Amino acid sequence: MNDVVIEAKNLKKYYKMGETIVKALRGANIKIKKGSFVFIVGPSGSGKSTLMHLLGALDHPTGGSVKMDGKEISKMDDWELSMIRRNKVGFIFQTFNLVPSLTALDNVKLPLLTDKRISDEELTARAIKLLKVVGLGHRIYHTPNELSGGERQRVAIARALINNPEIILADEPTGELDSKTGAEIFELMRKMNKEEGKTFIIVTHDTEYIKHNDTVYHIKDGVIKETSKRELEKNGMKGKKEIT
Amino acid sequence: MLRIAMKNLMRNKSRSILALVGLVLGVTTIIALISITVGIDNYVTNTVSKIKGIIVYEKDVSFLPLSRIDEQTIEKIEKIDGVRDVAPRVFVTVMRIDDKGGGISGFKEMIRVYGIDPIRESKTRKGQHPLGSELLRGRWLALGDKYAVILDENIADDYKKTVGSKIKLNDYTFKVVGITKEMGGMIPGSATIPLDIAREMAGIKQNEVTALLVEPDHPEETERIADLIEMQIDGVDAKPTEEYAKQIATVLNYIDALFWIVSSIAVFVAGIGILNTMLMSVLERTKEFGVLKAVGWTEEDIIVLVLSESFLLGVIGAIIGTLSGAIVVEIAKHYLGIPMAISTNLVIYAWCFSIIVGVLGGIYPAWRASKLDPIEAIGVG
Ligand SMILES: Nc1ncnc2c1ncn2[C@@H]1O[C@H](COP(=O)(O)OP(=O)(O)OP(=O)(O)O)[C@@H](O)[C@H]1O
Ligand SMILES: [Mg+2]
Repeated sequence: MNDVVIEAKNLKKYYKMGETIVKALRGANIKIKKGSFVFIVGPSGSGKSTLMHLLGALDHPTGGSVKMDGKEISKMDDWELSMIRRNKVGFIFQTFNLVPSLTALDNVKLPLLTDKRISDEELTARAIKLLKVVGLGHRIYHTPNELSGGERQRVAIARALINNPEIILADEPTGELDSKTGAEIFELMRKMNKEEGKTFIIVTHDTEYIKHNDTVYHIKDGVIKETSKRELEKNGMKGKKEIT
Repeated sequence: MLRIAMKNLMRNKSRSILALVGLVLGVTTIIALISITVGIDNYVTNTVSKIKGIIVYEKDVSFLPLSRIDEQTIEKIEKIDGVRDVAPRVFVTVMRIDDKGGGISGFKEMIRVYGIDPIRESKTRKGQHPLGSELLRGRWLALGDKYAVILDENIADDYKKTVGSKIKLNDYTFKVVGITKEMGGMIPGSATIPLDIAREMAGIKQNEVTALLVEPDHPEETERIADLIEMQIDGVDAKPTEEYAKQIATVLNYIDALFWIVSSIAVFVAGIGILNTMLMSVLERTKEFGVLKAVGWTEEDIIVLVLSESFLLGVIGAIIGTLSGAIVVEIAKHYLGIPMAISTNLVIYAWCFSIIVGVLGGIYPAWRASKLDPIEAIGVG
């Protein structure tokens, strides 16, 4: 099964909030194949972001295992996790999270800026190429506040691709965008998935972006169930944020 | 990395400038105080203590080259019992030789030039060495010499002059008539010219001189004669040259102590300034450091980034501080009229100070930034 890029087994994440313990994930299982384009949906507070953090080597689980490329990452120390993030993961955030003082180019270069294996010329060339791929060839030297929301998210996508990652994790990537721009961003991500074969794991509340044959995982009560767009529609989950 | 660090500093310019104030003040004080102290020290050891006898100067003058004495005082002092000879001196500071020099840190073109009265001088020195040093070539100054100069061998060698050459001191061209042995000391050269020209160059009135050198009949009476001069002549101070040098040395010791106090205060203030600035800047950029960590930066990478920023503050502080220190030294040079220079060692010391303080002030903020939890820092729900 070497085409499984990431696999979580019996994944648990508990948060201590003073006296009470919040059980965000209570034994979640997920297995994602290389090159797939999958969605994660679920009500607010159901643990979607928590799952993304654990899959993306940003956090340590309370229990269970996460295997990336067959390697157990759940017990790694902070430095090893940094290396996993640098080499294997790309993040796309709801709020873009670009560095305001830096140009689009520098923002895209950021993940590999401290990596001595790649020269600055090579890194710059790669970043420019990616900015062109995401349609920002004419905005290379703009800073984030000179860019529209959609353009910022394109920069973020280019940044997520700079390290040629195994998986790209996008947590509500269109949450701050209008539906037309959101659709463009999804189009771009699908293109990267098809043309570059990149694995995308996307958290979204907007079911309108999900196609009928996409794989969809539904998180509820801290566990994951595989579902589909049809079933979601049947259960009445619409393109609105659910408040629990 | 340094480029990114620089950009980060430029983001909040006023805060960066605030952080620099402490550093710049520190570096400026270090450079200015030391250069001025060393300058005065050299000047005094070279001018005064080399000559045995009594130095007479304007009462309560703050600094010897600023002293003005009426020429008639010479005769008055000559009449005092136990005084053998009195010789006038006019001090001139030359900063340009053959139109070169005048830069910030040039010992090279700065020499001490004395105006002397050849007749009185030869009496005082018993017709031997007007500056206490041996004549190598040519002759001493004589009555009627106008644009004539005696150089010491240092200057003669540096500017390739021999007896008969021309040399331009500030705006005046002189003919070299004699060359003496060097006098030693830190300031590498001296020259002697006739009194009248010296007055003109120093901008002193025709009947005035800077100071008088008095030689007593008996060396053991030096102190008594000095006291006598002070009592009998109005408006002058008279000190045995040795005592005068000692007095200056005491003042210099105070300046030295002051230097260390100011230095340590500067370290403290500058350090706190950098610490505060960097800490504020780090806390303000919590989210940003979270992003850096999320995209794969290690704790070490972040420490390096923050330390680069404080290191840059140190370097900028050093540059500005060195420049402003140099300006202070220039001003001091102008007002005191004595040669001063900023030595390379001093600049190195001040730079080390600034950079070390900068980096030290960045350590805690860097550590704080590196320990930020990326998830909390980014704050996504
Ligand atoms: N750092 C934390 N400390 C305490 N509780 C937390 C923390 N992070 C998340 N939680 C809790 O864990 C649960 C899951 O949170 P998570 O952010 O994963 O939800 P989500 O599905 O991403 O929600 P949303 O759709 O609103 O983004 C929530 O009840 C949340 O309050
Ligand atoms: Mg979330």
